[in-house]
Amino acid sequence: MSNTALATTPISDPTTRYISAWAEKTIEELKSKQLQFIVLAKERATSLIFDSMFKKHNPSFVFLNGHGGPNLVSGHNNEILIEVGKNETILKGTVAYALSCSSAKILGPAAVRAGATAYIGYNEDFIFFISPEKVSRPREDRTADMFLTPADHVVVSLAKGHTAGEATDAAKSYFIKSVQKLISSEASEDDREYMRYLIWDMKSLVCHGDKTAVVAK
Amino acid sequence: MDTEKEIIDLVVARLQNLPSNKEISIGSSGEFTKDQLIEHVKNDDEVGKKMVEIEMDFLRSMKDGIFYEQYSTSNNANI
Repeated sequence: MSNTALATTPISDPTTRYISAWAEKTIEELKSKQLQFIVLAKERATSLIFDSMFKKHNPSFVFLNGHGGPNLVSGHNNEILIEVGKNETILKGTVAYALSCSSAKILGPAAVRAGATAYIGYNEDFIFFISPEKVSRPREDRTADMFLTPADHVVVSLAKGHTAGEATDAAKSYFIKSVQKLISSEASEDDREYMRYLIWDMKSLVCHGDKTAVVAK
Repeated sequence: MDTEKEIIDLVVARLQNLPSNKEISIGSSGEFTKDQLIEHVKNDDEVGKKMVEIEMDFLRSMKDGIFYEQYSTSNNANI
């Protein structure tokens, strides 16, 4: 099994700026772990470079950040990287995690049918809140942190050697942990309003394919 | 007053409680302020329908006791 992971972190708008900033933070913190990440950041998250790096490095894990839809995931400037009926076979033999809207609805099962070991993603729109004054420094945004740290926990858990199924459950538990913090007396009334969106993201997160698959040992 | 109107009023009332100094990101639909969200719900467009769906799903989750169900597994977050 290859210990290479391929990640895309496009920046086309505030939403992708945030999810990519968090993804890069998560990957930086995992540098000492066994999984070696190749990051296609900003304008490098294109179809051409993605395909080329895939062929060159044969990754065991793919971490996709970007806009998506039921049958696709995009990269830089919304250029489609993977789409059902076109190139979902590229994920053959890999475990993929897409922090992207709705792609687990059709692309996830299609990728597994085409040979992907497992596909973790969201059945619905991934929703989170941002503080507009932090858009240029997204990592300092404590509001977005409530959503994006649980979402990226899938990657942390996989990198620790847990299975695809365990990583999905761990991230779901992390979302619930965020909700528990909001229920506690320390949380402000404003913060409590985020609960329903955390529950939405948690319920939307699913794992298709082999739930016993691992990407790091 | 029909049920659909009652639901929209309920969702608008719930959205009024969102903080005014934050924006919500809804994937490729974009980022929205509280006031923009409320307008979308009143207009009953795609973004508004999504907000209604989230609200109704949350209320169903509360009724189904999702917190109690999930509390027991929340310690898995450290794996």
